[in-house]
Amino acid sequence: MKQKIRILLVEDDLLSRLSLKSRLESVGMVNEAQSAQEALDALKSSDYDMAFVDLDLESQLAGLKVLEALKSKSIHSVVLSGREDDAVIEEAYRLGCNDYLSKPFSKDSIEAVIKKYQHSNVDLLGKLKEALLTNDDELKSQLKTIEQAVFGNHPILLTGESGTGKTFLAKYIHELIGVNRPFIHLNCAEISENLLESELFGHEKGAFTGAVKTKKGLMELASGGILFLDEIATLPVNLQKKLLKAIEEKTFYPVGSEKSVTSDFRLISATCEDLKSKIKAGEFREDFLYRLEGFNVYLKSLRERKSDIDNLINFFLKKNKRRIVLSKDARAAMASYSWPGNIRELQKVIEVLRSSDKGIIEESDVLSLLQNAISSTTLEEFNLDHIKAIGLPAYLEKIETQILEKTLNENQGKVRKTLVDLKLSNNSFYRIMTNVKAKGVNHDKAQ
Amino acid sequence: MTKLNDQLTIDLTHDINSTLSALMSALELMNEEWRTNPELVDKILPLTSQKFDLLKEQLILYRNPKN
Repeated sequence: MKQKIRILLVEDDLLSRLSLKSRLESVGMVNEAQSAQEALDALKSSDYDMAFVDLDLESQLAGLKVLEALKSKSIHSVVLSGREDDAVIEEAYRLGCNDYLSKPFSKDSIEAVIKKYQHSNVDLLGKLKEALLTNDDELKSQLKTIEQAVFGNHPILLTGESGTGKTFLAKYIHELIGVNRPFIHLNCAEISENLLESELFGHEKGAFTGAVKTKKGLMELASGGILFLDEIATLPVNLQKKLLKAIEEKTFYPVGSEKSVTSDFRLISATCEDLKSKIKAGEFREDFLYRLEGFNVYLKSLRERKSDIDNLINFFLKKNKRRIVLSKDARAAMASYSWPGNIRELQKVIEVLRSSDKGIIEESDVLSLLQNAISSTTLEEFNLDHIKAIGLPAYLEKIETQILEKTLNENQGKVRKTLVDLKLSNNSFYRIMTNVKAKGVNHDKAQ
Repeated sequence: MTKLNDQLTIDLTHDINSTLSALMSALELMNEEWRTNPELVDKILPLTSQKFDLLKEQLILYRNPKN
């Protein structure tokens, strides 16, 4: 059971004291003091974790004396004051106050400082480091950003190559803020453009063909929790504008509805694309990016944090009861590989190695697996004579057309998913598709 | 005289902020508790009413500092 916080409430106004005490009693045991002197006496006789202090008590700014005493006892102090003067605020912080709330304040402000205090005692950074299995200094500094962001309400933008742990991190943040809250995950690339709007905003019955009943949107379902928008770069520009408005105002209209819906969700978005260059290409709104960028976290690729590879190998080896052992050379081979698929690829390789008959994995086992990976991803079997006959440009064009057609088929014709899978720009896609169509026409003509 | 007026404005601003804060806290609490905790509401309602009167006086003084 969570231990109750011991709170000292120093406030001379009876109504403020009664209201605040009643609110604070839901999280802690509250003792009251009406003056600075009473507060100093209370500090001598009892221990406290946290104190809320009005600055103007029996005399102007008498609360400052209390702040000094609180600091000497390492008690977390929150000033409540109607004073707006920067000099007073600075003095309060200088004397050791942790938070300064200017009056009038709402209950949300009180709840936020309590939450902040409750979480200040948790070793968040340690937990994040442990979760991402990293000792890399740069990544640790990125995790510090998350540490600051976790318990606030600002958006978080996670960037980094595919397989670097963006989704894992979004889910982990959800775990930290409380799994009882909703976590709504949408991969923007997996849903066709015309369905995205109703998925996000919801729709009324009859709003469009196929809308046989009213459906809540993901933004509404995420209320009180996290809305995680993966592959945000693939979101169509017109929807970016709508989403921007909804995020700013926390209010939106479901498709076909005249009744607005209010939803207070935390937005975490992720992308493996360079959003700045998408802005230059006119495929991403600059104002939308500013809205997404509350806290930016870049997750390094595995080849940029090679010192973590050994830790990650050990972690994945221990994940299964069928244990295998990697020789020193095998580990060295894995450490020198470039891991284009990042952690996801490393995990897959360990799983394949584990499923083999061997218990001791040698360098040759690893190399053959990684060579397979290289050849299957980068080198098609080719006939040099044939290439010479048709020319390299025509050969490359043929290969990209085949790859595009194959991926489109695999994705049941979903263009946006195909763009993401192949890391293709819109322009490249249409250039290749034009070739496909041109060939189709020629083919027809030839027939 | 100007200095005196400046100080009066600072003090009045502080007092008005404090009064509004007390009212906001009380009203938020009553909004949440009036069904389930009538004793608490009985206790703070008269104080809230007095605060509204005080706010009225403070605002008059703020708008007409010479009076």
